Amino acid sequence: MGLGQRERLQRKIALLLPSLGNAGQRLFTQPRIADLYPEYLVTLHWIVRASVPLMEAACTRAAALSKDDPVSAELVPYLSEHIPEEADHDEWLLSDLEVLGRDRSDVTARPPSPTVAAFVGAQYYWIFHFHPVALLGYIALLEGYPPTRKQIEELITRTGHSPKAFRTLLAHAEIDLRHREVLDKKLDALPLTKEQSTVLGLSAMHSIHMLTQAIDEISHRLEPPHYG
Amino acid sequence: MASAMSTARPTSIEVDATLRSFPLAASKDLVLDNRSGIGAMHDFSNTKGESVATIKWTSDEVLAALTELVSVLADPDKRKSLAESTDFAATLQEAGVTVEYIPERVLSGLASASEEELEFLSSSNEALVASGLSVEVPKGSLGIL
Repeated sequence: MGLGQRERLQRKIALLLPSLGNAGQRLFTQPRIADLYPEYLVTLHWIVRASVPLMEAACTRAAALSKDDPVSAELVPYLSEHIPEEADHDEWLLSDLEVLGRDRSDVTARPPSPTVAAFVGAQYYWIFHFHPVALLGYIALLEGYPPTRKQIEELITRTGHSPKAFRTLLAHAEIDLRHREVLDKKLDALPLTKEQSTVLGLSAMHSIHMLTQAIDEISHRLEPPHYG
Repeated sequence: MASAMSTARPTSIEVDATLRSFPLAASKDLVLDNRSGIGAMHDFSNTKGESVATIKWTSDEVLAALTELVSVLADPDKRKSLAESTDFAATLQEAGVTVEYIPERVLSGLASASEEELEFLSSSNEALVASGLSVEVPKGSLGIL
């Protein structure tokens, strides 16, 4: 019997995930982690505020394809259920940033980085120009490997910031585990074609690549420019 | 990256400065099978339970094998053969990769990949090598949704 879609996708993610883990290690062991943590939250906000719109776009596209496409037909109920579960998580991040003294209007006024735009933007391309199932690769990465409670507690200690500035991370350490279970079941139930399975894997691996780059860029954001 | 790419197995473990740049790999608790990547080791005891020999090897062989792997993935014809293969490890070996030193996680991930995905991975050399040198997949990443 062949591998299920969940197992197949997890194996592909596991191929590149250590590079993301190493980027996290590089960031969290920076001497200036207290200064960098707000920038980390800003980066997460840039990503997370696109979650619901991305899923809405995928759901709309899947609904349009669902009459003749069994995978799209399966996506619609999954996304319809998941969209309200992700609502306002961007607001949670803004609240955490306020604890750190960052004004929410200043945060939302900042132009997101090209890396984040490419990370999220690739999903719009796949949704509209190939197949909305691609988004599940992105979701599998972002929900599949949340920070552990221990990692967050170590980060609180290392930064010296109030635990109130970590509420979004702490919440996701728990809720993502439930979301992952639901997604795992859905993946194994999808009658994917070879091409759809490929775009799922490409979406996940591209997401690891771009998120790694986005995490690495956080450290550089506070560095003074070097000339010559 | 270690400059030495020896294929000989040293008889003592050498965690060199290169490995220290890979935090996940720098653990001292390396009790691993022979495809786990870094510092694989086997202890041999006599009938009295006394340790009589330890065969250990460092990451040089793993690095060398990963370098061979990166080179194979860069070849479109070899990628196609791998994607179509029913015995991925054997095809990889035939293509010139010392498969015994490629971590199982890397092998199984690649074996699950299509030709298009192998093409993407061929442009992710650094990440692939870092993965091959990591003892384990991190339990939590920094991404959330």
